[in-house]
Amino acid sequence: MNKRLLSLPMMSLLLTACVTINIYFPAAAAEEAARTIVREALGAEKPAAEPGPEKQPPAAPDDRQSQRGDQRPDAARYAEAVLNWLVPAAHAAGEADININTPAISRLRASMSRRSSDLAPYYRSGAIGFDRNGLVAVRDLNAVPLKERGRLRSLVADENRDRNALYREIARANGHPEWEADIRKTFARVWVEEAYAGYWYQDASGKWRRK
Amino acid sequence: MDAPVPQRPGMGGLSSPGWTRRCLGTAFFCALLWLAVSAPRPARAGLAVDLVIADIQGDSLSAEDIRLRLLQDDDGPLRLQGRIARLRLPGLGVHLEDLALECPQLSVDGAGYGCEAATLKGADERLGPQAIKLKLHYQAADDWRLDFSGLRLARGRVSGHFESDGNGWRGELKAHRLQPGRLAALVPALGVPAGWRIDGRIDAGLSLVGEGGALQRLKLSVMGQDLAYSDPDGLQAAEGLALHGDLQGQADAGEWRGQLRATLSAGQLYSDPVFLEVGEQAVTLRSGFHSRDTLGDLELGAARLHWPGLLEARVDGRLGLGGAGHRQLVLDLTLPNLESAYPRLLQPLLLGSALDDVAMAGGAGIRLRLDDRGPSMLAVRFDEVHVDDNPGRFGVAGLDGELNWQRQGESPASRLTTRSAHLYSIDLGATAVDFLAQGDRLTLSGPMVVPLLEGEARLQSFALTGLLDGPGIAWQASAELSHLSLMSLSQRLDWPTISGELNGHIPGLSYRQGVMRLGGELSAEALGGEIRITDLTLRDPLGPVPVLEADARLRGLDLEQLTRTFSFGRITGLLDGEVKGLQLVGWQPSRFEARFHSPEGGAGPPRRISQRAVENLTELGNGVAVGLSGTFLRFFEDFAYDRILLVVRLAGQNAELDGMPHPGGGYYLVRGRGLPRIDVVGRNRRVAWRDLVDRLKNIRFEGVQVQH
Repeated sequence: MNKRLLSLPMMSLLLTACVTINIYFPAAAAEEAARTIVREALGAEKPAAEPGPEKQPPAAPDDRQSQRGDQRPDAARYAEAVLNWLVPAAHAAGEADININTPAISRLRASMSRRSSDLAPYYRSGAIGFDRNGLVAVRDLNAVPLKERGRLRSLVADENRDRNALYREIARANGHPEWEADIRKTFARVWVEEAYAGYWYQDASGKWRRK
Repeated sequence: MDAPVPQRPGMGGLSSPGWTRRCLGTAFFCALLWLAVSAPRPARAGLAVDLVIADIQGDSLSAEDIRLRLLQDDDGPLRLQGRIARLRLPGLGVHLEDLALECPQLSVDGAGYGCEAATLKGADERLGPQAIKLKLHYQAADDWRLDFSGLRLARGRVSGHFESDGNGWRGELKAHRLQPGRLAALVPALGVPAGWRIDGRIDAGLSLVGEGGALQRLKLSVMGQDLAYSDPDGLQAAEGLALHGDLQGQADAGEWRGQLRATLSAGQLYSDPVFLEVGEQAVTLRSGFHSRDTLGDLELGAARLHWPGLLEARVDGRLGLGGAGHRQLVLDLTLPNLESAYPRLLQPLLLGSALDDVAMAGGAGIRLRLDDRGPSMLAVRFDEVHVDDNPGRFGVAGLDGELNWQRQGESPASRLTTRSAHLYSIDLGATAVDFLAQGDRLTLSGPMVVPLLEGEARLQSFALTGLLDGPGIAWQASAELSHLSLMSLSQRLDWPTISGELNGHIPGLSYRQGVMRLGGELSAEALGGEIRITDLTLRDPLGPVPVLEADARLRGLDLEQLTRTFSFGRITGLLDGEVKGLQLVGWQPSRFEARFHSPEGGAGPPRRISQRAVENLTELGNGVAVGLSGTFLRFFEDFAYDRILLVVRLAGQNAELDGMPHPGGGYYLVRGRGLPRIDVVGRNRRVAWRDLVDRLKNIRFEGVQVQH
């Protein structure tokens, strides 16, 4: 009897003592979040399709033929972005996902989005590309007139400041500052996946390649 | 046939060692001329002397299949023809094929030998086909003249004149329309790295004076038009340069001294990350130089660079080029107008820092001493400098003084003064700061007092480390805040006007890896009570998303003052509170747990709530005024209450409200007392933070109702 009385608290102690908390990085949700932000930040502008690896002439500003799976008109995608902004609760209430609608993140997204049309010609000309750390890197300044090189440097510095803050803030806003490296890694991959044909990126060995 | 000396078939008479030595200097002409003058000439018959040499091999010269012919028809001129199948001069990089010399009239008299209109044709594997006109006169090894023209070099033409007399030799070279990229490829000594692209055209003149094998004086004049260059990555580049340069030098006991003068009158330069365009006024560079042995010993004397409207620079000392070491340079830089220098020169250099988006005015002077390990001394003089952050985060006006830093040893004292400054919308008064900067550290020499919000902030100590290589800048400080006016603060921050004082003793303020931490606490005497702020950290304060975290404790706030301040309707009594885990991201609240409540017991003034306050709470509750004035309660101006408790938990975008448990469900925000009794009961616990803020602005509160 005594044994039984003793064993109950012992067992409960053992049971409670063996609790292990595993926090897994929500890779799928992070990827979805990254894709949303990256598409928004790359803007709608894109160059004409080009099969060969040769350097292509920059696309005219009105040449905005979509090459991605998302063939919807711009208006529909903007509407979705506005809707996402207005009803953040729909995201928050769903499955355990990554929240990208805090005021700070929204501010960074808006800032990056505003910059996208300035960066696009430089992505297309190969002057800049996506590096392995989810940032923009200057690849070949020869493609940029001398006068614009300083401005491009400035744009790249601002963009990277926003991107670094964005990765840190997404991790922090979702309660896991330690996820920053994973978030960054996810973004680094998604920037390349979402990049338009002709844009340059660094592969795993650091070598520049053209999409 | 690989003997190191020329083979001379049929030339047994050539035996004088002195003659041979002199002749080697002018190659084969001498041999033929000797033959011509020493061979007995028939009175009427033509002359034909052939000299065939299979090859000549030496360290500095090699030649194969040499055929020389001296001809003279009856009464005709003496002619010289020469052919060399291959000629190599490795020291000059000359690799000629099919060299043909034609001298239609060789003059031979007592004054020496000469040829007025010779032509030399051949093909160099790098210079391409050549057809050079030559004029030669030779009397002795130290008495000769040579003119040439039509040498094709780097897509241009080069002509020259050389002569020697008893006082040494002189040379003049004129180059016309050289292509500098080709020239750099032909002359590796110019030191242009592989992969650089250089375009444009150059006209140049070079005068040389020497004696024997030694050069004594030189004068070089270069005119460059449409010059452009670029390294493979485009980090160093220029376009459309118009350059005029003069260099004079003379040897003095094995050392070279001279002057250099260059004028840049047009063009654009990019030296990552700085882009500069030459304006209407030319950029000039003047310098003396002194070289003992190699370029590594090159020493500049009073080099002056004048870039109109941008900077004046003076450089003295040894350059230490080519990794030779012994660099010892002093650079004096004057930036008389920061307003124009900032966008052109400073902003690109400050990219990525908090100073990369500011407006700047005033003047500055910089003295920098460099040695092989990098900067060893820096002195910066500020003259009425104004800095204003374009996003409005900070600004300084009337910055004067001097900053001195030394890598080793004791540095001179530094002192900076400012007339005024601002941090966000908070103004800082005139300040003077004395400090010492040496090696890795910068330390405050005495307390720094900053007038602030009608009180003052006193920086007692400040020590910064990480000026040199290492993990980055970090600092520690201790400070006192005394008598800061909360009224001024609230006005500056566009808050409702709060009276009171903010004081603080901050023994440990530190900054490391982008995070500023406050040890100790800030205390404010405000609204009749006290607010204490502890555990304050600020991450990335000037970045795009600053994150502030803190805890706060409120004690004995006078609700009458508080409600008057926020025009909420009068409530009397005291209020305590705790705010834990407050987090502001981009200065917006993103997380906190706040608990505001009446103090335990009945301390303080009578606890009463006015009809207006109840109505406002009612409006907050359901958005519809309950209309107390329409009931008998309108006869009462205010009501007694027992206790107020409001708990707000914010996590992300959702806030949770709570209070004292109400037996009928919901929670009391205000629990009434006596008669007539009014309770304010909240029903809804979850509310979107944005809605809550909007409703607070409109004095609305969802899920709250008034029971009476």
